[in-house]
Amino acid sequence: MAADFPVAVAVQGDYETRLMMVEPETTMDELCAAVAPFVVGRFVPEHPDKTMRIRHQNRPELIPRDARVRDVLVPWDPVELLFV
Amino acid sequence: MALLERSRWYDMARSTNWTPTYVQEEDIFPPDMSDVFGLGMDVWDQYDEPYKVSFRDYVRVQREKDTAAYAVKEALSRSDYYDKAEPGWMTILKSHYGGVVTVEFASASTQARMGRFGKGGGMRNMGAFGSLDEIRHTQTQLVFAHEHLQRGRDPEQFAWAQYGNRTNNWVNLSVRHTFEDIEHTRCAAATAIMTSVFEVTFTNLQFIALAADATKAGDHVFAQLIQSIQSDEARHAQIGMEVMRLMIRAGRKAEVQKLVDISFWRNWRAFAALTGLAMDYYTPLERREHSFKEFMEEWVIAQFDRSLGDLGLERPWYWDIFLDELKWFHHGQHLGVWLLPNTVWWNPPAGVTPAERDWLEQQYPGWNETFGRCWDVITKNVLDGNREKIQLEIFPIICHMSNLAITGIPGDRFRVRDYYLDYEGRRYHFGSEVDRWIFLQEPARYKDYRNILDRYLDGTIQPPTNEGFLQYMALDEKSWGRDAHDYQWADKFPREHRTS
Repeated sequence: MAADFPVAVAVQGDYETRLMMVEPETTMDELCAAVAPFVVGRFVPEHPDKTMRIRHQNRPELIPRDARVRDVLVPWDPVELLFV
Repeated sequence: MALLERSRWYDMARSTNWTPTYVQEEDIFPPDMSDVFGLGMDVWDQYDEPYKVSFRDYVRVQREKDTAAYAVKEALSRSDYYDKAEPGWMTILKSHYGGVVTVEFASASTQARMGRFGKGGGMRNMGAFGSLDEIRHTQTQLVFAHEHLQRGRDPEQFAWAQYGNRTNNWVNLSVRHTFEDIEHTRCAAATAIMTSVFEVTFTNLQFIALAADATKAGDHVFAQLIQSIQSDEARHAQIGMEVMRLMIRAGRKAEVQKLVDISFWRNWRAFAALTGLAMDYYTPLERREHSFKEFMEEWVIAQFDRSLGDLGLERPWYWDIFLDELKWFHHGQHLGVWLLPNTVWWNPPAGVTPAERDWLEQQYPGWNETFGRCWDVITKNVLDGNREKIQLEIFPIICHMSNLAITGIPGDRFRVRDYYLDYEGRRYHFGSEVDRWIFLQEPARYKDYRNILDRYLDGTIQPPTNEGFLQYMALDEKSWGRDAHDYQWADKFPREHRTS
């Protein structure tokens, strides 16, 4: 399956929002794992004692970790990756 | 033969409006080119420019300015200043020449539009002189930049002065999108207003404030050059100021205010990314006259209040947003440019040695716990030799108005927002509420534009690789940037900053 689902991700502590192309089947945990190597330890510190979670920009609640991108986001949705 | 004083003939000589009988007025002055607001000729006949210049006077003064600028250049041509100048200062010259010079050339068309389609006689007169000014600015700066091609210090980067604005480099795309919006695609009346905002306020930054830094850096050639240019910008600004006065008197204040609001924001974004980086990161620390924020407060905010406030205009509705951004916006842009130096034609200094960080914290309280947090990680990677970790490998989202990366506040006060908009089936991304507001004022003007990220994703950029991307932006190994100090700045940190 092609990685053709664009998500705009802002990682907590980072200075800009970044484009991540993923597969529609990708879970939130997988989205975190896909983004982290490009940002964490590069521009934001590592947080080994914390879990990475996703939430919609401007919404307080976290999206379930096993939720799939195609079910909870529309293409180009801006999300935040938080360390909780 | 005695000459009449100018004041005794000028007003009559430049009053060249008449009542046409063979054609319609709109054939001479098509509204789309002249005045979409539909002000009557009785209004335009009142146009009275504060600067009154005859061609004879104009040529004499311009010749004196050129003589002064070229004399300094000639006198210092054998000096080795540029061979020894700080890398950061050379970076400022490259970014200025490659980003600004051909915009000046395009502005000759802007002024010519007022010279041909302005409906006031004095407006046309001033526009004609303005067009000549912009040609002079282009030629002078091209000559001054050209000298660097023979000096052997990054000549391929200085060559961008000659062609930068015709490339698809992301910086030039951003500059073109801004200036095509405010200078090249509106009627002469709107163009005059929007250009005035730029010339009353923001050109002060690039041409007066930067001249102060240039003098302090010992670059008297560049200081003389840009001061010579600024003296013309003050005259240009008056073209639109008078248009504003007429429109406000004719009950069109709301339209004027909207144009001012759009132009001010678009200029803010462009100059923050250009001048903000130059003043707070590229100018050597000991040569800095003021911070970018201080220059903005002195030359832009105060000047805006004096000039536009006098007309009865309000500060733009987004003033609080602007004042907030003044504290952080350009810091994020600097990070983005420094991390992608091979996408620009200059060598960005990091500008974050311990002493420079102290200065940044002093000028921008809270810098250390926001932007400093990102630089902490970057610095550690530099010191540990993890060069592969100081590269951006995924694209930032690009604003569909400013064409700059959508940035925010990092670190402990994390706030990064994508102000998106779904319009006619397409999702647009904006770096602020104001950028989105501008889009919504006239969607047809902006909706079909495809920014550099769109072009990458839709297959316009081929091959769709890093190499293809750089090639599309007209960059190669000789012209693209690299850290200005080859990362030696990090050695100024104590050893405990290293992991290993």
